[in-house]
Amino acid sequence: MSSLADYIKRPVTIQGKEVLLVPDLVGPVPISEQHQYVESCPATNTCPAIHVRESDIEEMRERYPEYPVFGMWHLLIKSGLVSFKRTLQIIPITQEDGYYIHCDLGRAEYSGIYEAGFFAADAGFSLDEALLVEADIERLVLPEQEAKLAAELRFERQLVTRKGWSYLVISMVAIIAIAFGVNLILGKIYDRAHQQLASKSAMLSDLQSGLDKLRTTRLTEVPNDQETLERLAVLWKEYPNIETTGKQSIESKSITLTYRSEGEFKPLSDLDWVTSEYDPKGIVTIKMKTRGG
Amino acid sequence: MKNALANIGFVRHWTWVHWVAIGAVLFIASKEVYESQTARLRSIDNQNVQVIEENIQEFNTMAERLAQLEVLPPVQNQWKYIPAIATRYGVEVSVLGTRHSDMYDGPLQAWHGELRGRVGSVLVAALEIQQTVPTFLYQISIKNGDATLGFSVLGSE
Repeated sequence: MSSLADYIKRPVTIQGKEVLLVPDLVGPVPISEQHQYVESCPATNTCPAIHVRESDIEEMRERYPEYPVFGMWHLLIKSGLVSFKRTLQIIPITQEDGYYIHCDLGRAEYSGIYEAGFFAADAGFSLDEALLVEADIERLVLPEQEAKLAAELRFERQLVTRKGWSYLVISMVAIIAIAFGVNLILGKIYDRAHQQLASKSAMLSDLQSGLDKLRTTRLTEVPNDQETLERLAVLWKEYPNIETTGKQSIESKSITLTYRSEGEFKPLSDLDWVTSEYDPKGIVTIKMKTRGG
Repeated sequence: MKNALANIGFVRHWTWVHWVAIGAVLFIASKEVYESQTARLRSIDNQNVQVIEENIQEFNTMAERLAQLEVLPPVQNQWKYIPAIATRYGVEVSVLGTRHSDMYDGPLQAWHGELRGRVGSVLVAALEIQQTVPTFLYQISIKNGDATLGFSVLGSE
């Protein structure tokens, strides 16, 4: 079986997809080199952030423009081929050189390269204790995100931001359109009701004006004050000197009349439409009920 | 709600600014629709259909009834009966003019007048006038055996 290092920087088919693998860096990037690296995978509880050198991606882009680029450790960790319990794991390039990853307390700490069997990060590391990371290519699983240049990531972020605003505008327009539509439909429904009301009101007003016109030529109730006139005639016949107190209205419920009693006062007890009061001075006040009384 | 929306891809990248903006638009749109609808419902409530229909029915009945009634002759023709009847009973007639505040003030034409004479004659003349032409009787005054009685004779134009 060949070393996994043989797949680096050349097209390789993983999960049916042609990809490129580049060496990446697990853990902190030296301050002096930070501007050269771009993050390909954020930190997790078992692994610090993984970075890829931009120049490696650019080189791959130039040589194989169509192929996605993945970091080697990123791919191996995703494939579950790195044991976080082993202190030192290596991928040899030659007998004495290669890539290594150091894990401690169940978490990946950092990665790097060893040359001539020497580990610059920790002189205590030895190839004798190192575990070889090896696997069939069929066992490799591609991470969800490929490694990208900072410019590409920035462009993607801008694209996402722009899309966010575009979708916001579309959503607003959709809400306004829906509200407008609902309002329009409700308006149409209630306009019909309004029209019905308006036509009924117009009919009512036509009827009213027709009625008013009819009332100018027709009398609904013929006035009849026969009873009142006859009652007045009876009283006048009985008391010829009878008088009204000022002007009295035939329309009112009663008419008040007076007369001076010359002799003895004769109350009209047999007429139920009359009440009378006798004043010792001789004035008799009669209250006569009219038709409406 | 937010979890359900998060399933729609683009929503994942929205910040609070997006949510505030969309919330504001949603609020304003709902408020506008609600207020328009409330105004529509209020205007329909104000004009109760049932009341209008009842009025139409009532007016129709009234119009049918009125249409069956006889058309009154012109008021000047009606008036001609007054002096004729009054003279027969020795009662004086005076004209009060066409407008009088406490007399008939309806849709029909009315001429107002006053009968003056002996009490018995005025009462009889008034009765006959009222039986001959539609007449409303108003103020009566009786003193020293004489009576005055205001009346309005009705007719069409």
